[in-house]
Amino acid sequence: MQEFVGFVVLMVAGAIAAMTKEFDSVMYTSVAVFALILFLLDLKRKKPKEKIEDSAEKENMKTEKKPKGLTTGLFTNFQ
Amino acid sequence: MKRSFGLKHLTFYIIAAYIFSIFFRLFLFFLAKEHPEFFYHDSPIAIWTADAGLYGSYAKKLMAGAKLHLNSDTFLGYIIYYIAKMLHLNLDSVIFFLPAFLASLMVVPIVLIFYEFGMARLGFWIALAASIAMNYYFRTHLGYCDTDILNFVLFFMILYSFVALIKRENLLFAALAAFLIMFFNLFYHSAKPLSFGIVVFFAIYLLLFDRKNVSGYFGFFIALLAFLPFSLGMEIAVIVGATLVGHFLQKRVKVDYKILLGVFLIAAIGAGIYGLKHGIMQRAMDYLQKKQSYALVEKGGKKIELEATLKTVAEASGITPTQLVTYSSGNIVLFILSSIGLLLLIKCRKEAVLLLLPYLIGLISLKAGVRFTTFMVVPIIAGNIYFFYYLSQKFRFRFSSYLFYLPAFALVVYYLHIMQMYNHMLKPFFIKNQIAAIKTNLDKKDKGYILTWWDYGWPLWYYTNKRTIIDNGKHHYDNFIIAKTLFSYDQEFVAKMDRYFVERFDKIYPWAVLPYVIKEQPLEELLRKIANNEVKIQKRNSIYYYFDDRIITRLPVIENFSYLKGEPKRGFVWVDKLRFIDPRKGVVVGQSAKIDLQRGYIYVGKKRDEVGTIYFSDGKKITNILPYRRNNYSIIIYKNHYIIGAYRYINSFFFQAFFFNNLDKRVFKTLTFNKDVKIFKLVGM
Repeated sequence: MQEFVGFVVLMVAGAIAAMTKEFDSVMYTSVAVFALILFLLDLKRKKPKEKIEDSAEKENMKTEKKPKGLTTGLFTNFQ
Repeated sequence: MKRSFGLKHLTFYIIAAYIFSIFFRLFLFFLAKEHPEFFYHDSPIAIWTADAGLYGSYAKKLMAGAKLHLNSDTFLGYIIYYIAKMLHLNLDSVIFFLPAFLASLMVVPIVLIFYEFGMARLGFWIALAASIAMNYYFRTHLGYCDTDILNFVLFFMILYSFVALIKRENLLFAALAAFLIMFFNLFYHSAKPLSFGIVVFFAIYLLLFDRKNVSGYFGFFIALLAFLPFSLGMEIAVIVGATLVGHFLQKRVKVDYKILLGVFLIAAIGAGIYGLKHGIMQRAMDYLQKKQSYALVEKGGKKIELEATLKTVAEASGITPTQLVTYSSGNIVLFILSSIGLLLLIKCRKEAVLLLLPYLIGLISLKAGVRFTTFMVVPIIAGNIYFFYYLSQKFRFRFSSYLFYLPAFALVVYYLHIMQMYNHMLKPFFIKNQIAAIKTNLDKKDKGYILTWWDYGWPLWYYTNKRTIIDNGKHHYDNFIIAKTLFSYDQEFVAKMDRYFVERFDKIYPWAVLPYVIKEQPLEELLRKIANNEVKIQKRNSIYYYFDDRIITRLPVIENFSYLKGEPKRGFVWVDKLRFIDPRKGVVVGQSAKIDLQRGYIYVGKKRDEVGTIYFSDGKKITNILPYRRNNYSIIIYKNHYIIGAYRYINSFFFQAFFFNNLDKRVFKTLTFNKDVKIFKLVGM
């Protein structure tokens, strides 16, 4: 994923740099953009995990009577 | 980061990196569009380096229907020709754009090598950075249509084949290595020492780290077959046969590795002897031990010595450690981190020891010239990116992956920044006005020769239908003739001498004429007879002289070549870059010299010399003359760009032609004389 993002950011920055003829400033800004996108992706990736954890917990609550191993296994798989 | 990423990811990495490299290499074209003088007939000017002129001229000949023998000299010419012919493209455009498409293929072996290491993601980032980084870009940019646009790709593809052979123990990779070596040796005239070096390095790897690798031994034997002097078809058959036999022995017979080790040692010694005897290492040694002079024996047995060229070729001269660091990595911090990273990578993946070879070849540039730093670019960047990857693995925390991704991304951007800075320094070998003048005056139907310094040889081949006596590939003995022409005072003698040597050369083309004629009579006697009209020769060819500003910085070297070794010199010439002129103080300041315009003194360090006359030239005419005293030391301030000092040479053929347009009109005709270009024709002899 990071590679794809890196590639897209570089290509878009390159296209902007070619159009604006502000090569250095655009390209160095792209480093910050890449860092920001990585950070956002990181946050986004944590979020569903929390949801999963939530849902797993809910699932756990719902299936209290089920054997422990099943939910633990499910949780581990998600992780 | 395991190999389980699969083919889909691998394909994405290779294609994305390839597109990236082509896209950013096109920035030179975008920049060129802002300079109308970089375009000729609405096409970007094709030749940005002399070597492109050679391959372009072969392609041009092929286009005209000539049949050329396919060898390492003409191979790239054939590639250009077929692309232009099959895609119906303009030859200039193919020559200009081809480096972007071929040099970008470098990403393929890089990603594949790291895929074999189980680090395809790293390979992707390394490929991005290396494809546009430092000396690799400097030697493969648009218009740099030289064999280098594929040399490094092939070198690293061979390395990849050996890495894959080690990792997969599949002899198909040995066959791949052998075929690539064959192709490399056919494509590039100096490939053998490089491909042989890879095989030797692989052998060392096997001995030191992988003595039980049976397929490695078979691979070594198969790779060696690529060096045998068989015909192409025979060689392919032998390699295929050996691969099948090796596969059978490996799978069915289960040969003990100790037996193979013994055979391997014998084969390695045999290969070493073969390499030495067949001159494989000779080319490499030529770079390391540059000849100081060329010796010739003239009639009567007297030995004469001429200056050797290789030591004067900038890219073949040894470089400083600072230059090594700059050309390979950009700066010392990156160089150190990279070197540490490379060692860490080798510690982690023992097969990565093969990457030490291009690193070591890079170090050889300290002695052999800047071109060798190009090999270093990939291992340096690999080491750098691995260093940060190592940190991200060592220090695990929530954002530890940033320790890898951000430096990798920043490194790519850093090299893009250097690439773009370098683009601003580039310009075509000949600009629009020069090509127009060349086409008008030197591409007529008459059969003839252009006399100029060898740097102009190949580019002139491309743009004209004329020959040159010396060129970028043949600049050994006949340099003397051109240098003697340029620094002789007697213009009539120059005309007679040039007529004599051109007509004699025409009979033995393309060999060197000087060693040929001095076998008939001693050089001194010959020159005397030419001067006294005692030599008669029939005029068959037109003779032209071509000069532009590029020759100015070569003047001290050319002056050196105008003498035989040991011959006393009549004067000297030096060239300095002008920094600024201060009219109020009356001083001209160069990079190393300072001129006092009021008193006519020149200062170099603490040393002071008295100047006779100072001339100011705008490139077209002398705009001002400042006479001080009667002596033979003259200074020319040229286009506010160069300071040229000449002691006793101001009346020589070159100075009178180039700066004063003052050639004897009975003998020479000025065809073009403007700020960009000066072309003359010999008319009186």
